[in-house]
Amino acid sequence: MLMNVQMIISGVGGQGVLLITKIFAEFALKEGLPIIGSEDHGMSQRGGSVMTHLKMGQFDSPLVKRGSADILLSLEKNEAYKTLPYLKPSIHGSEGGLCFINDPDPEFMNPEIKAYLKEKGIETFVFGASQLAMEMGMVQSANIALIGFATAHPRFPFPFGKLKLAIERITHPRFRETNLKIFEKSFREGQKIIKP
Amino acid sequence: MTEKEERVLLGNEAIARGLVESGCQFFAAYPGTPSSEILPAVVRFKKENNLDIYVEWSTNEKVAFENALVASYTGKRSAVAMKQVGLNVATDPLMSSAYIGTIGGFVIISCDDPGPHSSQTEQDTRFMAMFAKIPVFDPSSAKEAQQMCPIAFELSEKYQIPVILRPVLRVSHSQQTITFNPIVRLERKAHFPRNPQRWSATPRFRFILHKQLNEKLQKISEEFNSMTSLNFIEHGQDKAIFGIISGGIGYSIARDCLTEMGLWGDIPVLKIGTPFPFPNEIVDSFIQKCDHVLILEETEPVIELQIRDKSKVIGRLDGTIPNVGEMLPETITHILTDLCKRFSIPVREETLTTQLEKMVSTLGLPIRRPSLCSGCPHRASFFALKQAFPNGIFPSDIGCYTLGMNMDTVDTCHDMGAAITFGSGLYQAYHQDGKEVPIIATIGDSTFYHSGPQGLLNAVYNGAKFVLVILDNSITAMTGMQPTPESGITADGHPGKALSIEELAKGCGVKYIRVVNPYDIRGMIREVKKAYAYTKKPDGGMAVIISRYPCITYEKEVLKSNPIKVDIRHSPPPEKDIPPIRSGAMPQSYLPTYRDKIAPCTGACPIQVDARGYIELIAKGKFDEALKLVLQKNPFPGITGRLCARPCERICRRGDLDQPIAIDLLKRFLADRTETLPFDPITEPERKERVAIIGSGPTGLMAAHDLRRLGYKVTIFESLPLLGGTMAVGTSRFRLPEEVLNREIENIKKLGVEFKLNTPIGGKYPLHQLKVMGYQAILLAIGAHKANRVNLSGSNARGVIDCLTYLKKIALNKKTPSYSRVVVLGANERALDSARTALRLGAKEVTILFNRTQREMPVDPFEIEEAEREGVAFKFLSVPTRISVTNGKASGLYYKKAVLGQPSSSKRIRVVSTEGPERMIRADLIITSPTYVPELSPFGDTIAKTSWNTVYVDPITLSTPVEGIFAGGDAVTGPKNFIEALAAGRKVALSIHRYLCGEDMKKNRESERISTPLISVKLDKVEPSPRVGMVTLPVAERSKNFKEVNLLPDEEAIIEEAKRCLHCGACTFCDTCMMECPEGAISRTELGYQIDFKKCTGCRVCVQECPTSAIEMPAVGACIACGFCLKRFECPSMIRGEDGRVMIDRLTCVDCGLCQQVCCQEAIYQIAN
Repeated sequence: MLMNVQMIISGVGGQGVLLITKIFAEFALKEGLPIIGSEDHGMSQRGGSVMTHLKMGQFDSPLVKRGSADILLSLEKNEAYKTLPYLKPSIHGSEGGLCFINDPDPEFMNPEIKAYLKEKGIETFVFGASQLAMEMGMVQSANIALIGFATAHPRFPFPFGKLKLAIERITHPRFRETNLKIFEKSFREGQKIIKP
Repeated sequence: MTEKEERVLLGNEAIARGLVESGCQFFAAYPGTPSSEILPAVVRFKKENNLDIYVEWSTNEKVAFENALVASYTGKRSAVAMKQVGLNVATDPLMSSAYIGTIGGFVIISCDDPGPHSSQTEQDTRFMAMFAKIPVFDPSSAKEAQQMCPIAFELSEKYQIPVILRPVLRVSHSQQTITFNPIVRLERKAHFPRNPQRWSATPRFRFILHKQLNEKLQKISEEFNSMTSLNFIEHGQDKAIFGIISGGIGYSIARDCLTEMGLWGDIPVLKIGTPFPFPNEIVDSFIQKCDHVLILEETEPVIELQIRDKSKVIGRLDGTIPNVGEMLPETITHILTDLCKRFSIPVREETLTTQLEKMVSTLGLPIRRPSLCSGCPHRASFFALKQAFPNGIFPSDIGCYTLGMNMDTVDTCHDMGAAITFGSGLYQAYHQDGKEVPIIATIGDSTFYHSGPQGLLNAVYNGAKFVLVILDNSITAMTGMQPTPESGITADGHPGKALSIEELAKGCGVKYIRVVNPYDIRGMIREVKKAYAYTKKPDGGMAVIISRYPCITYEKEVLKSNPIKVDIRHSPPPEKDIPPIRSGAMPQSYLPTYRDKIAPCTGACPIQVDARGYIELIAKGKFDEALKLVLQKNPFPGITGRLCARPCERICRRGDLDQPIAIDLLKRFLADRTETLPFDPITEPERKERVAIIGSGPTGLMAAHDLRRLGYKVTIFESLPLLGGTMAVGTSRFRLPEEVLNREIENIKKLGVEFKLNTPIGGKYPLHQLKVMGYQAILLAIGAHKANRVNLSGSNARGVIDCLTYLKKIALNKKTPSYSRVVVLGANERALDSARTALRLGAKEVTILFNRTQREMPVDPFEIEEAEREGVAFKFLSVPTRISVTNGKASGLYYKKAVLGQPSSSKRIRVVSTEGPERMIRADLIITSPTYVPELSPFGDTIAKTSWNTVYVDPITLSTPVEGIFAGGDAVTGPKNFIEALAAGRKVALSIHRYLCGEDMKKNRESERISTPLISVKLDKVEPSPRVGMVTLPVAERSKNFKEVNLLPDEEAIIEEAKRCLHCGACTFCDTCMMECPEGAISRTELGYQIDFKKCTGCRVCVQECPTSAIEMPAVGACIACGFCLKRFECPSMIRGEDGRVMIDRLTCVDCGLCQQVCCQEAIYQIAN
C-alpha cells in the first residue's frame, strides 16, 4: 500500500484522541507504511485542548502544515473550529480535505465558515458520535464511532476491514466487543449519511 | 535474514532503544517534559530483553548526572537524561566533566523545549555544549536520535569525553516508525582506575586538561567533517543561487516543506547533525558554492554564529527566521516562498489559511486553559490557602500545582525549589522594613525532594518565618506519574527505601510540622492559620504544612470507594421559602448588609452590660473609656468582678473553642485601676417624691442608684451597723475586700442617697410610719437572712451554726470562741467561705462534708482547689446522720456513705440512700448550710407571703399587694446570685419610677430580658489560646488574715485576654470581607464598609467568612450565577450553563464532592449514590 496521508485529530483531554492515533499507528505498522506524528497537549491533563498531527507515507517532520491536512477528525466542535485551518483546500483540481466532527447538531457550524469550506472543496460531516456511543453503552467510545463514520466515506483512505483489525488489536479486551460493534454501527450510519 | 522488528515509538522511546542497542549499562534521570519517557522505555527494553542495566530516578539532575558520570569512570557505558532546564541544575558537574573526561562512554541527553510548551525557558542545549566544550548531537528525527546513540557512545569512548544528545520537543514527542537494531551486550565489569591526578585534578592539572580538551575538540571537529552519516549534502550543486544549511529538526522541516513546494532536489541542502565542535570544512565549502544560504536550526543561531563568513547567511541574526518559538512548517514554507521569489526561483503560491483563521477567531471560542484535574487535591489546598490568606503572597514552584495560578494562589514559579528560597527572601525583605505579610509558599513533594531541603535549611538557619505548604500527592504527576522517594519504589523495582517528608523537614531544623488532609478544606484553613500564627510568635519559626492526599488521576480508586455525588440546585428549595431568582439578578434584599447584633454575653447579662464593647476598648488599651461603658449599666464593677456568677461567660462563644473570656477579671481590672470610681453628676432635675429602701444589699443599692439618678430622694434604712447586706456580711473579706465594697458604695453616697444605719424597720418603726414620714414608695430589699431549721438531730446544740450567721458574726467583729476542729456541711460558695474563714481564725482542722462528689459541687472547681491548698479537707459522698452532743455542746458528727442515683432528665444526681456503717468525725464547731428565707416577722401581716415564706409580689412589676410597697432581690426569690439581686434592683426601680409618675407599671415589660439568637461565630478560623491564668495570693501569705486571695493578672495579660474576644455580632474592621470579596465590591470608608451593589454578585463569601457574623444575607440554596466557584475553585467539571448558572459536567466529574465545601449559597448538595 502506498500513500501519503496527513491527518489532524483534535478534541478535549479525556475524549480519547490518543487512542485514535494509536489505531492509525497500528494500521500503518501492519501495512508497512512509515508514520510520523506529534501530539500537542501542553500542560493539560483533563479538559484541555488536545491535537495530534499524524503523517503516513514519505514524511520526515512530525507537524502537519496548515492547509495541508487530508483528514480532520474532531471530537469536539470548538476544537474542530480551531483546527479547521489545517485542512487542505482543493487547488488546481486536486481534491480538498475531509472533515469529520462529533456533535449532536448536524447544523451547528457557522454558515459563513461552512460556505467557505465548501467553496474550498473541503467536505465537512457532522456526526453525533457521542450519542451513538452512549446508546451502545460505552459513552467514552465516541472516538471509535467517529472513525467508523468516516470510514464510510469513499475517499477515506483506510479500508474498513483493516481499521477494524487495528481496533481489535489496540482496544482493551474488556471493551473490545462493544467497540467493534460501535465501529460497525457508525460505519453503517456513515454509509447512510455520506453522499459525496 | 529475518525481518527486523518495527514499532511506532515516541522519540524518547527511540532514544531509549538507541541507548540499549549501544550497550548502555547505567542510566539515571530526573523526570521533566519533554524527557520523561526515556527512562520508562529503558526499563521496558531492559525487562523485555532481560538486560543488566542499572536504572534510577535520581532525586535531581545534578545527582543523576554525577551518578552516571562516575559509573562511566568504571568503564561502563552510562547515560543521563533530563530536560534542558534540568541541565542548568547539573551545570556544575557538566562543566568539570569536559575537562576530566570519561572512560566508558557517557552520553548526556538534554531535551529542548522550543515553544516553550512546558518549560521556563526556550534555552538551547547546544549553547550549553559549547559553553562546557562538549560535543553535541542534534537529531533531526526520532529515528536519527536512535541511530546517533551508538555513534555518540563510540565518540565518547574514543576521545574520553562526554557527549550530549539534544533532541528538541518535536523529536522527543514525535511518534515514528522505528526499526529495531540488535542489542549490544557489553557486560563490562566495574573497574575504577585510581588516578587522583586526573579524578581530583588540582588547578595546575586543570590547565593541562583544558589544553587536552581543546586538542580533543579539534580532532573531533575534523572527524565530524567526514562523518557523512550525520553531516551530509543533498542535491549538491557546484554553483547554486540558494542553499540551505539545516540542523536537527530544521532538516526534517526543510525536507517536508521543499517536497510539498515541489522544490526538493532543486535546492542543495547541507544537513548538520553535530553542531559542536563545528564541522567547518564541510560548511565552508558548501557556502562557497552558494550565493545565498538560509540557516534552519532550532532554537538559537548556534550554527549561524559559528559560521565565520556571514556575508551570504540568511537566518535568525538578520531576523528572517523568528527568534522565538518553534519553527512551524507554515512559517518555514512562507519564508522559503519569499526567498525563492527573491532569487527568481519558480515557486507555487502558498496555500493561505489566514482568511479561515480570521473567521474562526471571530467566533469567540472558549479558550481551554490548562487546569488542575477534577478532584485534584491541590485545588482543595489552593482554595483553602486563598480563603485563609486573601492578601497573602504565594511563591510557588514547578509542577502540576503551578496551575494554581488560575486560582490566584501562585505568584511566582521560577525554578525548582525557588518557592522556598523566594519565601525566605521575601520574608527577609519585608522583615527588614519591620513589616510582616503572610507568605505562603507551595511546593510539590517531588520538587521538594529535588531541591527543597537546601532552601529550607537556609530559611531555618537565617531565621526566616513563613508557612511552607508541601503539596504531597505521593507522585510526580506532572511529568507522567513517576514515583517519589516517599514511595520507596524505584525506577525498575530494585530495592530502595521509603523516605519521609516529615523527617526531612525535621532534619532541616523545622520545629512546626503538621500533616493535613486538603479534602477537609475547613480543617486545612484552620491548620494553615495556626501555622501562620506560629510563624508570627516571637519564639516561632518556619512552619511546614504537609498537605497529603494522593493524586486522584493516578489513584482513581481513592474516590471510587467513597464517591460523593453532588448536584447543583438552580432554584431555592421549598423550605427556604424564597422565590426563584433570575440568573445573575439577585434582588438587593438578598444581598449582604452590615448589621451589628447584640452579643451573646450582653444578652445573657441580667443587666445587659455591653461586655463586647468594653472588652474591645480594653484590647485597645482604652481603659477609661471602657470603665465608662461599664458604669453606664453597672455602678458596681469591682464588686461584680468578684461576686458575679457570670452568665455571660457561660454563653461566651469562645467557650466552644477553648475557654470563655475572663470577663470578670477584665471588669475588675477596670474598677481596681482607680482609687475612686469616676462620678457622673445627676442630670435629671430633682423630684420631690421620696423613696424608702429597706436594706442596703445589692438590690437596695442598685434601686437607690437608679432612682436617685432619676431625681428621687432616696433613703436607705439598714438594720446592721454596716452597709452592703450579704456583700458585707455574707461574703468573706478575702473574696470581697472592705475597701472595694466601700469604694463603690461611696459613689452611691455621692449621689446623695441618705443612709440610716442600725435602723431596722418593722416592729418599733412599722412600715406605715415610713409613709407617714413622707415616703411615697417603699422598697423591701431585706434579703434572705433567716435560716430554716436544719433537720438533723443535735442541731440545736451549742457549737452548731449556719454559715450566714457565722460569716455575719465575723463581719460584725463579734467575739467568737476559737475552735480547733470545724466541720462544714454543704458545698456552696458560702459554705466554702465559712470553711476558709474558720481556717483563717485558727482552726486546726476544717472538713467539708458533701453528700455527692466533687463534680456535683455548685462552685467553681478553682475555688475548691484554693480551699484545698489552704488546708480544707473534703469528705465526699458523706451524708450527715446526727450531731454528737456532749454537755449541750457539739462534739462530733455522724455520717454515712451516700448511694447516688442515676442522673435525672435535668442531669441532676441525687442521693437515693445511704450504706455502710455510721462513722463519726470529731468537731467542736459544726457549720450548716440551711436554706434561707427573708425575716418577715417584724412586718406582721402588712406583707403578703408566698408558700415559701418569701415576699409575694407581681412578677413583672415587683409590687406587693399594698400600694406603694415593693420588694425585690433575695427577699422575693430566696438566695440567688449577686447579679440577679442587682437586676432586681434595676427592675423594681423602674416600677417605682412609673408608680410615682402615675404611669402603667406593666407596659412593655414582658420581655425585659433580651433573648438573642446565639450568633454563629466562625470558630474554625479562630486560633485557640487559653484563658488568662488566675493569679492568687501565695498560700503562706493567707494564713490568719483576710487578704484578698484572687488577684489580678498584669495589664499586659489583661490586654491579651481582651484580645481573645471574638466580637460576636459586631464588625471589628478586620477587613476580612473586603479581602475575601472576589469582585472587589467591598470598600472601607470612615463610616465602615460599603458594598458596591453594582459589583456584588451575591456569592455570600463575605457572610461566610466574617469572623463575627456582622454581615447578613440569607443563603438562597440555589445557584445564582455568581461565578464564585468558577473563579475561586476553577474545577473543569463545573461548567457555566447558558443562563450563567453552574452545572456539573458528568462526563468529567470524579465525585470528589469538594465543590460542596465551596459554594457559600448552599446550592451544591449531595445526592444519593
